[in-house]
Amino acid sequence: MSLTPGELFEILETIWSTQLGFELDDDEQSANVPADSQEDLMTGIVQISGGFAGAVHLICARSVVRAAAARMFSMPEGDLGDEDLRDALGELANMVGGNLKTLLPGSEFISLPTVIEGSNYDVARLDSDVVVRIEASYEGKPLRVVLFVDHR
Amino acid sequence: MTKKALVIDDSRAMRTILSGILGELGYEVQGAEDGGRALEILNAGGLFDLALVDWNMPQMTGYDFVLEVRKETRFNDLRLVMVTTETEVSRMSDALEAGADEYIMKPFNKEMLLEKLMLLGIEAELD
Repeated sequence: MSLTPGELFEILETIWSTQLGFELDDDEQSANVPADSQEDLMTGIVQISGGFAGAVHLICARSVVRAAAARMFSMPEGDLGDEDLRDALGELANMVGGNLKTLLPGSEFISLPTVIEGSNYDVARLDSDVVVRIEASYEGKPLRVVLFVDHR
Repeated sequence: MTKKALVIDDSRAMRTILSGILGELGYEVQGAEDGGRALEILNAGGLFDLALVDWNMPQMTGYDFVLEVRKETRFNDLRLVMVTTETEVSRMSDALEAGADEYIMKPFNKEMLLEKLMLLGIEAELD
């Protein structure tokens, strides 16, 4: 597996800039912000299967998802409901997974997205290893992408 | 006469984005959350000039939808554009062989979509 953090960041940055018109910061200093943040987080998960089996997790501060959803739905942030945020994050996770799949030899299918939300939580993927993980931020709020490979 | 488009994507956000762009192009747009629902709309007599189709959806994928539509000669004039995160060249080939007319990868912006539509002979200017 030769995927680099730079390649993963490029995918995330392209999605943010092309689809949303937002500029991301590649901010390694934000590495521990999500776990310590007082703000709720949302996690979009897409499973990858085939010769490569694993998952990609897109973890964002809720305010980042809200900003993205406002752009995607062309609505003021205050008018968005919880379902709108879940839908937007699911689609963004889907884009990350789909674009990542191209760089993962043997991967064939991506699942429909799953969204988890709340505060002070962690998501454990059992029997898997982290392949690559990146930290970024949008307007000072954290985003994280983690790619897991499952044990066979 | 107003042209009509069908936007097929399980994401409401994506349907909103695509419908907004097509609306600016003067299309009357109807949405469907998966290929099965889109087929129901077509079989109920819905007449459309263009369909934008996601690949990865519940119930019926966009790929299967394209295969089903292309079995019916009455839909021969319907332009089908896959709009998907499936970015491999092999997937693109599969979709085109199944009967899609064009293929655009997510993420995209207005200009990228317009460029693809113009390749289909759909001439329009966006603001």
